[in-house]
Amino acid sequence: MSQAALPATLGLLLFCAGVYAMLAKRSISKTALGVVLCSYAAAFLAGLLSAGTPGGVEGGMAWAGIAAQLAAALLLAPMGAGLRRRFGTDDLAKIRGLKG
Amino acid sequence: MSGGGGMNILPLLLAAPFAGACVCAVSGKRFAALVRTAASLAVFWLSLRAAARVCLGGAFAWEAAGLAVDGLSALLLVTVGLIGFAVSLYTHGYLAPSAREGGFSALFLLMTGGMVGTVCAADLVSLVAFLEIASLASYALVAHGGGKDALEAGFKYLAIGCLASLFAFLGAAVLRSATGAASLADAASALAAPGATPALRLAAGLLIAGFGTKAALAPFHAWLPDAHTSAPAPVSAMLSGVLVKALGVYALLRLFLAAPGPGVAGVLATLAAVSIIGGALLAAAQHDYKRLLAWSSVSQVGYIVAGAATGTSLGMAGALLHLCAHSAAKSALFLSAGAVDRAAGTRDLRRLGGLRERMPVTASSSLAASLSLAGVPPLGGFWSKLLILLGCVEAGLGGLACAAALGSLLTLGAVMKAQRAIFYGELRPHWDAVREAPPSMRAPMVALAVLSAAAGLLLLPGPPRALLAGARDALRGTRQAARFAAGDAAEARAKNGVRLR
Repeated sequence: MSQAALPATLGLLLFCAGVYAMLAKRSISKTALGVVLCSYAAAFLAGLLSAGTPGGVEGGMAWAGIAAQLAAALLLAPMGAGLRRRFGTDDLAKIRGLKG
Repeated sequence: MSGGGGMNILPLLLAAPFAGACVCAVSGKRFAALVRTAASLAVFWLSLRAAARVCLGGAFAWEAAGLAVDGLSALLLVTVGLIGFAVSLYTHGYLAPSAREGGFSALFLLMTGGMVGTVCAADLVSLVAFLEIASLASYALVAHGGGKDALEAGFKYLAIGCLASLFAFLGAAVLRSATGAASLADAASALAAPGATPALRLAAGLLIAGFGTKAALAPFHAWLPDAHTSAPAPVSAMLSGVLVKALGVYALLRLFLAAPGPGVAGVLATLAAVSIIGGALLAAAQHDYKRLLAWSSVSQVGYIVAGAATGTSLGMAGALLHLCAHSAAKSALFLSAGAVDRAAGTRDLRRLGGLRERMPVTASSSLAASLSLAGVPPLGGFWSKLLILLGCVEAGLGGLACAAALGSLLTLGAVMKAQRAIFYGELRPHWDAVREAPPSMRAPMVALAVLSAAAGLLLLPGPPRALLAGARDALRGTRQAARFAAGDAAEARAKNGVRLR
C-alpha cells in the first residue's frame, strides 16, 4: 500500500461526509457545512494527486479549485442567512415554495 | 502569444467583460447600464472578429493564458456575444434603474467573461477556473431579485452547482494524474482510448456528472427548473440560451462527444433520450410559462447531446445547428415571458389569455421562436432536428431517433398550449390596461426570434456556413487525433503487452 493511501482514504471520507451533509440533512447550515467540507476534501485530494505527478500543473488546478470553492462558500453564507431570515427557519423541508 | 499574424484579440475579448464588470461594480446605476451594454457590444464585435479570423486563417491561441480559439470555440463565442448583447439591451427596459443596477451589471459581465474564457479554454486548468467564475456569477444573479423564491432557487442552484463543480474538478485532477493530459485535446484522446483503467473510468464518471449537471442533462437537471423560473427574465434568457451550453454542453462536446469512447457514447445517448422525453413531458404539464420553458430546455439540451453522441457528421452538424437555433429561440421566449410578466404581473397560463391584441410584437416573436423550437418546417429548429434524426438513423440508433421525433411532437404541444393560453382567445377585461413592451425590449426579442427562425440559413453556402463547418471540423479533428492516439496505444499494447495507463 502506498504512503498516500491513508490520506486519500481520509480525503474521500471527508468528501462523502460533505455530500451526506448536503443531501441528507435538509438544513441550511448543514448544507453550507457540506459544501465547505466537500471543497476542502476536493482541494486536499487534488493536492495529493499533484504530489504524484511531475510538471506541477495540478498545483495550479488545486489553487484554482480552492479559490473557486472559497468564493462559493463566501457566497453561500449571505444567501443562506438571507433565506433563514426570510423564512424564519433553518429547516429546508419547510422552505419548499418551489416545486423542483 | 501565437496564431496567424496580426494582433491577438483574445486578451481584448477577456478584458472587455472583466474590466466592464469592475467599472460597473463601482459606478452609478445609469452609468452601469451603459457600461454593461458597451462591454457586451464589444464582446459581440470581438467574437465576430475572432470567428472571421478562424474562418479565414484557422485556429489561433494565447498560449500564456492557456486559451485558444478554433471553429467550435468561435461558434460558441459568437453565440455568447450575440445573446449577451441582445439580453443586455433588453435589460434597459426590463429593469427599472435602481441602486442594485451596478451589482447586476457587474455580475452579468462577470458571467459573460467566464463563459468567454470557458469556451476559449485550451487546457483543464483554464476550463475549471473560467467555469467557476461564470458559475459563481450565475448563482448570485439567480438570487439577485432577493425575493423568497429567488433566494430559495439561488441557494439550491449554488449547492448543486458547487457539487457539480467539485465533481468536474476532481475528474479533471484524476484524469491529469492518470494520463498526464493537460490540454483538452489530450484529455479527449485519453478518454476515448480503448482499454480504460479504473482511474480513467472514475475520471470519466466524475466529469460526466459534473458537466452533465452544468448542462442540466437528466438526471442531473434538478437545479434548472427552479433557477430559470425564479431568476429575472434576462438572467433566465442567459442561463437557458448560453450558460448551460457554454459550461456544460461545450465541455461534454470537447471531452467526450468529439471522440466518443466505446461506453461513453451509449451512456450519453441514453441520458439524452431520457432528457428529451422527460423534459418535454414535464414541460407540457406546467402552468407557469417560465417553468414550461425551463423544462423544455432540459429536453432541448438532450437533442444537442443526442446529435453529437451519434458520432456521425450529420448528427454532429445537427447538434451544432441546434445549439445555435435553440440559443436564439429560448432566449427570445424567456424575454417574451419577461415582457408578459412585466405587463400583466403573472405568468400563470390559467389566468392569461388574448394578450395578442395588446402585445402584437411580443406575441409574433414568441410564436416564431416557439415554432422554431418545436421544429416546424421550414424554421431553424426543423433543420437541426432533421439532421439529428438522420444522424441517429445513420448510426443505427433507432430508439434515440424515435425519442427525438416524439420529443418534438411533445414540445410542439407544450409551446402551442402556452401560445394559446397567453396570446390567443378572448381578451379578459382585467387585461385591458396591458401595454406592449417598450422598444428596447421589443427589438432584442424580435431579432432573436428572427435569428432562431432563420437558423437553417447556416446550412447554405456562405460565411455563416463556414462558421458551422469550422466547428464541425474542429470536432472532427479531435476525433481523428483520438483515433491516432488509440491506434498508438493499441500498437504499444501489442508490442509490450501492457494496457494504456
